[in-house]
Amino acid sequence: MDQNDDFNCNMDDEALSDQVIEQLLQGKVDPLIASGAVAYLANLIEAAKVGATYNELAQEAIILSRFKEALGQGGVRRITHPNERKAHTSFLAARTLGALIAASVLTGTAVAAYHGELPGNVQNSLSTSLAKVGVSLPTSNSSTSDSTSSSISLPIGKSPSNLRAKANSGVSGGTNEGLAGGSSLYGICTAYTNSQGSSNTTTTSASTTTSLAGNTSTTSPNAAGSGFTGSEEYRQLQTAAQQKGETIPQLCANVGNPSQPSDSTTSTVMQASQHASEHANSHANMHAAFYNSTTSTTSTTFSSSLTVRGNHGNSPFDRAFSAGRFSLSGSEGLYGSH
Amino acid sequence: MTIELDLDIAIHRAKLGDEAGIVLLFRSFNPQLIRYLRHHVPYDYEDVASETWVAIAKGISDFNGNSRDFRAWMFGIARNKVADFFRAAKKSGEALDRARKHLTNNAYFENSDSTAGPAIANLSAEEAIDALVGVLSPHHAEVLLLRVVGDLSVEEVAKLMGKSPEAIRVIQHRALNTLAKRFYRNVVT
Repeated sequence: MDQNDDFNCNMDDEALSDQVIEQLLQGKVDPLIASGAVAYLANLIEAAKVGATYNELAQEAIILSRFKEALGQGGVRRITHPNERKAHTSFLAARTLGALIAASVLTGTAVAAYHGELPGNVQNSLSTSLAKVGVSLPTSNSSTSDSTSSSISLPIGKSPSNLRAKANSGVSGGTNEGLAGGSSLYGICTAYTNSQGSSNTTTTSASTTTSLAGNTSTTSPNAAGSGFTGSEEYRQLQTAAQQKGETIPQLCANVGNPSQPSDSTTSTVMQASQHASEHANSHANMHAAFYNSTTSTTSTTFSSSLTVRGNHGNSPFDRAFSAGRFSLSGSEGLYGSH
Repeated sequence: MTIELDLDIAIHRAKLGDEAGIVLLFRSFNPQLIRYLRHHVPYDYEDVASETWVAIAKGISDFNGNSRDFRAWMFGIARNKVADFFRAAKKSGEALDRARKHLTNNAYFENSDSTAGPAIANLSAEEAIDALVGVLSPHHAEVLLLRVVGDLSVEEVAKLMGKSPEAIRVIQHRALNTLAKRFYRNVVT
């Protein structure tokens, strides 16, 4: 008895089997093959399963509109149960906290990358990658240390101690004084003074040549000046001067080197100014000076290095540098140890 | 399989309010819904269908499942909407009377002659459904509707109706054998 025999049953003799019924209901019985009641039922079921008619889809536009309207109502489900509300609140709090932490990490990383303070390989990779999309970041090669943070580029032919003097020109004398006064203002003033050239400076020449530890470097204030006057630090200097009702030269004239001992000679001050301003020309260097003025702690070696510089490199700092040890208390993040 | 997959995607997109997803769901399932509802509420099936879709829209964000699950879920909602309709109709009385009148006048076999067999080739879906379930008891008719029109499995129908799968198999067995016997009786007489 094959399948066709199943579909040709005689209702007088036997009822439909469960198998036939199941196949009928699923529409798997071909009315042309079956006969009798099975064919009849297969025809009915086939007609009942026929495709959509126009009338059955006529309300599409209306129902679509109502569906979308109701979807908006159902989409904003109210939380009424206290436990559910508590759980929802906890979830939101955790999510907010996570977002804050992620934002902090990302921001910190971005700032560190901007200042070139990421570890060497990471900094190089970031610099290389972002350079392709037009974003300029310092590489770890431009840092004075690959293991510690530094935002100051090391120009070719300049010794770390030169940079040290420059950096300390922007280091706060123990407090975060910002631009309101103190060493950060002094650092920016020296940069400003240098940018104005010989006619407006208290230094002795427009082109300053510094010799320290056998290294000689020359800077061009005019070239740096154009960059500085357009810098953020210059605008801050302008603001500070305006707040005091003075011009920038007047303001800078009243700003002394906070790290310089009061009994220092004029020549030492000028030398310090020269050393400090020499490397604070570029925008990046100025930015570093300002940055460090607001973040680092007391510098204890600046005055000694400047003072002893006048003593031809006999300071503890220079001795340490000559011996290969190079650390800067209070600003160790700038250079670290070699 | 592709159609099922498309419908699964359509459900997901409809959840997001995507018009194409909603339209695909509507075109795929509304004919079945209309045929089912037309049997229960012949004069108001469009309103009940609309209410069903609104209920689907309100609940679809919490719905998790594939297109088969969606179909069963939709017919569950439709059943509830029919019950709501009759509860409301019971208060007014008018709609209920219309529905009863439609059911009693639409007993296909009562009006058919011995040529009913050949004539069924030209039946519309509505007429075929009436012929299938018009003479059955409400329970039997409901099982056949859900199985044939709703294209639901025995297990899905059992779950919807709160019965065991075995009970559903017994009901569908009795229902179809009843129809077959009626067919032979009409053919012979």
